[in-house]
Amino acid sequence: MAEEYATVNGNRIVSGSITLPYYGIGAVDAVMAGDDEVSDPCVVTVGNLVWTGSIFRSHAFAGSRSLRMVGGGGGWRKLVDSQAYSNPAGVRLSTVMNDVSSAVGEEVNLADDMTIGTFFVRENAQAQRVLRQLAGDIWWMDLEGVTQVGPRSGSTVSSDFLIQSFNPSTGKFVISTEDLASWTPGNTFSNELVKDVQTISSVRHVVSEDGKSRVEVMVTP
Amino acid sequence: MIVNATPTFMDRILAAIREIIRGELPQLTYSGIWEYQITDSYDSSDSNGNSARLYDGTPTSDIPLPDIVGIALRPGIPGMIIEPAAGSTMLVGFINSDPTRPYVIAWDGATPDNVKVDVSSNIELGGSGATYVALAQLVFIQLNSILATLTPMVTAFNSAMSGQPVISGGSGSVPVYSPLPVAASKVKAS
Repeated sequence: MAEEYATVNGNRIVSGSITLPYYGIGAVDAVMAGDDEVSDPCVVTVGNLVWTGSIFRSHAFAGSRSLRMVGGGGGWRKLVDSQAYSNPAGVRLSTVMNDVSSAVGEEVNLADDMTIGTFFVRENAQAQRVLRQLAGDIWWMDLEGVTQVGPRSGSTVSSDFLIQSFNPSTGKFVISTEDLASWTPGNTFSNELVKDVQTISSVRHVVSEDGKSRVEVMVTP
Repeated sequence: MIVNATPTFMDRILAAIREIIRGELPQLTYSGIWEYQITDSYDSSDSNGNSARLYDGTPTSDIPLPDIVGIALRPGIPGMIIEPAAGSTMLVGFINSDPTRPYVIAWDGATPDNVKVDVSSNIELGGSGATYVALAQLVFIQLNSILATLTPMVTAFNSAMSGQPVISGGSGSVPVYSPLPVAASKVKAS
């Protein structure tokens, strides 16, 4: 049996999209071929792109199942208890981050650890609020579902691609490529049509019912 | 009491809008002032290594913050150190809305056990023309020194006058008054 192009835990996706922002958490919307339940963790495969997440919403309708999935364990929306940290030698960022992430079932990786002060008073709130307080906007979730605290880095897309369209007003490209995995925020691309190097701000990988896929790329600025 | 405006997820659109707004205000909780019951206070050092009185506390009501340990006072009068009465409450704030910088900023009206004010130059009370106060213990020492100096003289005088006619209205000897302590019962200075 031929391997399916787009799947969730091996089950065929009829149509859907993977949205990857520059900072924050990506999300997947998918309509499945059948209405079988899908359980966490969700491994979404589209071509050579593999993305790991968890179910945010799932509904069966008319013989198929629609899913909305978010990256990682979906834990950053969960509430954490208030907790006080105190250390005259300094409270480490890693201490607070590891506590809050493990409390909600997420994994975090810090680009730089540091002392944040001699206190940290964590409020009873959604874990994402604590993440925002400590990391600001500068965090993102990778394709494996690990929250990376720090700026994104990028590499140059070296594989072949075709530019289907470009809207200069919105800075939006529609790309055809076999190498979906290279099209992630932070990476750069150019070719004979686009001589200026473009940096990917956000990406939306779309699989349509007719079996075609496209990559919608928004570039910076 | 005001009911906190927390989003209800029964109204998804409203909840989503509120989450977006709250997301733009991550420091909101730390912009508030929160009431804590003091559970302990003790002498230690603050985050800069200076001697300080530190305070532990527990919230007096259901607030989104935890018990707090070892925070210092930002007194209205610099140099002031307060030993609160048992059962006092304190108000806790966060400098620059920073969750790493909690401080005690105010108290309830309960009479504290002790209040100290330390300065490097002067404490002046009463406006212009203020002069240095006399310290009761030093005054007492000086008075006792005077007493010690005069007592032999008075004793000798009284001995010399013994047996002499008593002047009308006199007692026949010069009394010696021992100074009594004059220190205030609650105010100290150095």
